[in-house]
Amino acid sequence: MGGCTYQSRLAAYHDGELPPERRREVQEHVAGCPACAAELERLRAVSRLLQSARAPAMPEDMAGRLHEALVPARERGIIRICRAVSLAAAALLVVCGAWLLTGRPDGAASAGPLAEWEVAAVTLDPELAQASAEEATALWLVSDLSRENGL
Amino acid sequence: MEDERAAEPCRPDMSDEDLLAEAQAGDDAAFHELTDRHAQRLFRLAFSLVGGTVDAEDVVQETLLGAFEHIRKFEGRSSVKTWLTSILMRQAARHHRRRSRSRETWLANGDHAAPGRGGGVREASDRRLDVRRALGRLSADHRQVVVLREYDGMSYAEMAEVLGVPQGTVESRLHRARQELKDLLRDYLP
Repeated sequence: MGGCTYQSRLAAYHDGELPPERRREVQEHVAGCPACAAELERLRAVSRLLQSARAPAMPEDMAGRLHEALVPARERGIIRICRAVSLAAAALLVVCGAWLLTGRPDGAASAGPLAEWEVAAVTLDPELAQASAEEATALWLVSDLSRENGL
Repeated sequence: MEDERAAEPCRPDMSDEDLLAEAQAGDDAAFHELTDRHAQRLFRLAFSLVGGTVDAEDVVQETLLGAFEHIRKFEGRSSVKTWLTSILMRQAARHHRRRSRSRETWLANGDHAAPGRGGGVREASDRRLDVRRALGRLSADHRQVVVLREYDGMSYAEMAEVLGVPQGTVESRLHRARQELKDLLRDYLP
């Protein structure tokens, strides 16, 4: 059985993996070599045996079960996406909160002096600051009317 | 409704690759169509690898779920058939590792023989059982190449792609696997 240089090519020949020229060459060799012919026959017999033990067909109701199993998989995917979006939103909220609590970062602090109208908008008139609530209202009305009349 | 859809393909004129592209774009029906196209072939492969109907169904289900969940990672460098088969190979190997009793499964689920029938039927079912047992005794690597070659008709190049190994490795595994089978099944061989 051993010794023939063609033995190593028999499997490829049996599996149809040889190019046409090589295939013809092996075919001609096997016709005149009893050892290779016997080995080739054993390879074919193993294949026939395996074919006789092929797997049965898929159970009839299995296709339906496969389809049903895919639906929760899609839902899991959607839930995963929602979870990721929620996490991203929460992270953004934390960052914004921290930014507001700890004050503006350097970039914001060096934004330059505030405009006059900004200062005026948040600064209390000294008179208003020391007046009672009623007086403050009266003073505010007076100053407002004065501004309207161009005084 | 599901069964009707499973029985009759909705888009028979579309290639696997086109269906997969649709599925990647979010069309679930396209993936269901792919499932129908490949389930039978995947089941037969899984059965030959794990040796039982229930286990084979589990492996096919895990394969399709895995493919569905990672569908966007498929870049089209191989065919859909190759892609699904390589996932199945990994799932079957994982299943095999998980079940330390897998060899017993092989012995227990090998056949659907009907006892009490005529001698010819009995003989054929005994032979089938012996062949499946022999297949079950091979290492996972050797069983994979035998199953892909003998039951799926894959070329050496396709097997190399599915298994992620060089073609030379496929050939040597197949050679050794056949040597083992010849030894295990010597009573049936000339």
